[in-house]
Amino acid sequence: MMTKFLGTLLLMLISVPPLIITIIVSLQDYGTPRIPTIGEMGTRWYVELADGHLLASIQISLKTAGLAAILATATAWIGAAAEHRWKLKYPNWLIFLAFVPCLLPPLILGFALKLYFGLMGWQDGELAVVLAHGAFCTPIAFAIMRSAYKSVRQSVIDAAYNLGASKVEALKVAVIPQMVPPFVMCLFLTFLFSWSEFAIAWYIGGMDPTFSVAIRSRMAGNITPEVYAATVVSIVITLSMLCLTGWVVMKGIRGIWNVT
Amino acid sequence: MKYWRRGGSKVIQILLSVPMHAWLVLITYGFSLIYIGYLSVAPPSNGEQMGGSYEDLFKAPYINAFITSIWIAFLTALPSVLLAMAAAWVIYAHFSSRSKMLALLMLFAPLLINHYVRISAIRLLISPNSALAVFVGSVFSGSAFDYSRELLILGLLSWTFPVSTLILYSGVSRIPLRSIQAAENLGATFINCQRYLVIPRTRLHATIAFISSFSFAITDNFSNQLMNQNRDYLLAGVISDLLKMQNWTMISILSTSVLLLEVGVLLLAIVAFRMRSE
Repeated sequence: MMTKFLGTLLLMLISVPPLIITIIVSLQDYGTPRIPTIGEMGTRWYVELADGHLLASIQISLKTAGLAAILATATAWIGAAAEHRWKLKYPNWLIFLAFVPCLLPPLILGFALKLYFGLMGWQDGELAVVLAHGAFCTPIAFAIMRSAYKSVRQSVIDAAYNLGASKVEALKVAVIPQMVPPFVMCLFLTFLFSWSEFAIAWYIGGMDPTFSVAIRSRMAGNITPEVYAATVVSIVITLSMLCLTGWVVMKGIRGIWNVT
Repeated sequence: MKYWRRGGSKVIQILLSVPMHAWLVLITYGFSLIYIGYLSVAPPSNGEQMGGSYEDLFKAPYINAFITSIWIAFLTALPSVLLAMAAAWVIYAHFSSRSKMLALLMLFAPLLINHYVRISAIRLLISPNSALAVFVGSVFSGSAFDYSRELLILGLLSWTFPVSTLILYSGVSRIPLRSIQAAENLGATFINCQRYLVIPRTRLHATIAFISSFSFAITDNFSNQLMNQNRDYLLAGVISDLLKMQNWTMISILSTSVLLLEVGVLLLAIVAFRMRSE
């Protein structure tokens, strides 16, 4: 009981205060970030946000993070399928190669990619960010998809065959419903990593800064609560996406394939 | 019946495994890392204002920044992994399935906030004039939460701890709950459970979590600016200054050295695991 209490307390201390402070600081009319009293609260920075460049950077980040997540998940899915179904000759080395990017410091990976993209004649910009973030997120996606393949219950698939299902039907009713939750989790997690990544995007983002780069640029000068307001908007967008994805997945599994 | 089982054509195997590795190694990180390795030993090009060599690495300010950065990264990565191991264990072994979901969501929550905003929020919470600082200062005499290296590590931990916990949770969750219950029924303490159950089965995850935390900590400059007021001249600061001077050679040398250091740590860990398992 004591262990559980201490664990909960530790989690609360780490996750809750930054979230609450970010929301509180965004709700004030003053020009410098500080914790406001009740009388000082207002929505000035949300109104100013609507006209500012930060909103444009949120749109760029949504696009690049979304595409990078799809790219990373798709390549990792195929790689994990190959690793699961066939015994590769040098599996440990191939797995190690796939995990290398997540062990590299982003600042160094960003610098290396900037020089490399320059050498190849590829322009800095959104496409370069998508490619780089796709590579950066692939190991995370690969780890999730690998464990997803390992956790697929063979007994469910055998039961489907015993009940007369064909290969396609077994795939539809027994395999895909088991794979969808980790697949969606993989998409979401890679999206988050790409969304909050700064160093690589800073090097190769070009003239269209992502949200992280825009925030960092603002923080180098005079910090205003607009940064906090933008963060709250981004949290709302991300959480909405999470809820929507969860809802669509559950509805899809139950409605289309009639699996409870 | 054999649809989902292992086996099948070698051609399909190669066709399936090629895209991911080709994408990673050829298009993105493989060639780019080889290129900076080449730049670190190649003579400086005409466009560069300054060059450098591996000998310069052992001169000030590079050697000081290198050692300080490694030390701070180590002081961040070690508690991060130890705390994460305990947290992953507590969530897996002591929380109900609904609480587990909630706990994992709470670990995700800090990742939803941009790292820079999160660090600023923590700085606001523990600024010298905040209620918390006044309270702590009244209990422990002296000025609480002044700019320091300890605060810098705290800021870095706000990112590395949740990520390490998520990595280690995937390792801990492979331990059967029955083994844990059996160990606790036989009177195993928390430390014993960690020593005999968790650590042996999560060594690889712990190494990955350590290197991920280390990688992040060694090249983060913003936390140093906000929590430590740039009192330590760190590697990220050096790289940032070299970028302004467009000294690609020296940046390549520093980057290659960090990468070699990480590869060394990883190889040491692998050798240690093999020796232990033999």
